[in-house]
Amino acid sequence: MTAFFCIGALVLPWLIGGLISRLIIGKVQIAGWALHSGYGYLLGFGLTTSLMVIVDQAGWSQQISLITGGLLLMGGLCAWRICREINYSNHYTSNQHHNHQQMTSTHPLASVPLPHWQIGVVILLIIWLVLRFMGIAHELLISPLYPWDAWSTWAVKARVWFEHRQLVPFVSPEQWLIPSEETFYTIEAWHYPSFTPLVHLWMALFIGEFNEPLINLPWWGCAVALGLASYGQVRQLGMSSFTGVLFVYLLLSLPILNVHTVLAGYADLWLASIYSLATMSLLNGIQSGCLRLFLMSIILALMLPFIKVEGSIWLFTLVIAGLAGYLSQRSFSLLLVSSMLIVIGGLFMGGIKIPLWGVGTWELTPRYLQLPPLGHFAIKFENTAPAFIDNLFWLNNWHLLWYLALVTVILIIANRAILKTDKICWVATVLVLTGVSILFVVFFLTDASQWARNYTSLNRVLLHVVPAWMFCGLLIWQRLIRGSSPIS
Amino acid sequence: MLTTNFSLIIKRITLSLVISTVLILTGSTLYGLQPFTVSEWLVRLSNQWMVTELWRASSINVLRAGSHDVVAPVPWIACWIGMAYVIHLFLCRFSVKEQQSIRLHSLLILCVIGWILLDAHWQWQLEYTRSLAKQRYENKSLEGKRLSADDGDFYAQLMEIKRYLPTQPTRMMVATPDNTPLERYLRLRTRYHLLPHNVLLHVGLDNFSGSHKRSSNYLLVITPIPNESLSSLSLLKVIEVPLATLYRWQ
Repeated sequence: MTAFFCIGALVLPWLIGGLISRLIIGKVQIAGWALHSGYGYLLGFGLTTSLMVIVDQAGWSQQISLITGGLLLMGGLCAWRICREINYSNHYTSNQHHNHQQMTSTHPLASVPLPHWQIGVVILLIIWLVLRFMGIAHELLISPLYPWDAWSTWAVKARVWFEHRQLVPFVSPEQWLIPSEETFYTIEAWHYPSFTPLVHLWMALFIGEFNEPLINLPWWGCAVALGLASYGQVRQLGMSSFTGVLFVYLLLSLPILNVHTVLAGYADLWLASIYSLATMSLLNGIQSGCLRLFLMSIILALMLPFIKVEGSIWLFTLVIAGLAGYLSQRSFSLLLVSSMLIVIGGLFMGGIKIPLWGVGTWELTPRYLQLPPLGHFAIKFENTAPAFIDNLFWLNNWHLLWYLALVTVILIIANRAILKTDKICWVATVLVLTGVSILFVVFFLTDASQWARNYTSLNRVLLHVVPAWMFCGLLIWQRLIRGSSPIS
Repeated sequence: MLTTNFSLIIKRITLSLVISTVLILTGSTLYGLQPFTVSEWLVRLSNQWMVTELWRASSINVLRAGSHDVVAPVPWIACWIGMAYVIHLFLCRFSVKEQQSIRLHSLLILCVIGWILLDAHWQWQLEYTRSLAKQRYENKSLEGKRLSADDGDFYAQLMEIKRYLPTQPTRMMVATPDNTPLERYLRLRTRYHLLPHNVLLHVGLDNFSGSHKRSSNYLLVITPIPNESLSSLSLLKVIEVPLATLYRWQ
């Protein structure tokens, strides 16, 4: 019976999310099932956790019937809207033979039959991935909660909320000491976003017990959803199913990603998945001009700050990439140069302050960098290059990914003309360079470098962006190969 | 173009990999990288390939298995693949620009071969941790799993203490004398295992204020050593287990 509820807790948000994805993106001709399943999972859990917050804000307790009812209502509305859209689309297509908003991959390679050897490789890779993820699921389902932050931070909130059936507030230790009639708890990371504990809480409520192995199952689904959505987006780029499966294999075989799946409970995998799916939608939206993909990208991007505090920073990179896609290269370069001049000028004048609604004031001075809610960092140069080299090129965290990244950088420099002629390559490069600049500032120029030197954050922060950057790399390789040959 | 030349590409790649292997083995032997003979080198390589790592608290941040050896898998494979690609280019006699796509495809194929080898090594590691988890946790209740975990003994002691606490969540403090990594771990672990009790973590046994006393009902001290600084406080001992003592504020 528990297994039944466990599957239900996973499948219900997935299905509803799939309908929302179908509603937002619309009908997709190639690999739509993969695209909607992948996006649907993340949207579904985003919706579920949002409903839990709404239920709390309305003053109700966390009743599974209320949340499930809300999900089913949303699912029903989506299904009704999709049916209407299909009817309208059938009528419209029969009259106009055209639908300008529909996302269609029309590249001839997307539907070309694969050669036999490629079919063989695809089958082998799928079998390999299925076996890998069955093994991971097995270990996940028998092990208690293991990773440090999972039991010291995230699951503490979830367990308290499960016992009280309410989103009891968490306050600072100082506030906890002040006598009050109200019930509140405290942990060090009391102000962190609630997405991760709400996922745990959803599972516990649906199963009816705070069963440590079972509440971690959504992390496994998150990795699978990332793979499915990536496959769908690769196919939308006009690439073959062979390339799609190979890309998913490279992505889902990354050791650090597997670790975050099997040792579930951290928010990093969710952040990585949501950021990469937002990026893929943005880039494919720029390529296809499909407004629905931009909308999907915006929705996912807005979810980022609610997953983890670093999400605000990654949201910023998407805004920059969006600007690069919207403006001409000349205008964007002008904007970039003038912004940098303002920043440098501001630093000479003693510092700059950017008030952000609902977040606080971002502040940059020659002595410190303040990025609420991320924190306060003293500015000082630290050479953390040895830690980066060790983690990226020596330890087995990323297989050969960073060697491939080096090759890609060399190829881009050698073929830099594509950045001028190909908008999507330009945007992908801007996105990656913005992320690299942020990582450089944080890990080389502030006292946050200690987290790189002691290896605690370096790989986890990179995990947030790696799936998106891999997609950018794939795009560039595709352009380079197609640029030199009509067949790829 | 790729399909027509595919068998030729594969033949060249295979040859490049063989030459690359021979060059690396002889090169590392000639230029004094320990061990000195090819057979010793191969034994060390195979041993290195089988190195496994238990999950540790740091595993979520970084994987370190077999990393500080001269034949660490990732750089070794990268070197092997890189050299094979250079040999492959030489075999192709630096083809003209029109064949860039074939050169890129060859590089990708080589990288994927290297990736799969590393992934096979990684799969070995995953199977190892899974078999350990299976031995330790399979077919056990959640209570049994916790008792079988690394800190199972400590968990058992905390459950003994929990019996003396009210059934309804109560406000309490968990304190350790210092803030060593072990003490920090024990404080955090105690809070988790005592949930849903409402716990404030505290460092030091001689710095309690009036607000500490007013805001909590119990004090749990995690230390195997009796601490004199507690004697000045008005505390009533409730229960003592080897690693911790539970007091009630008077």
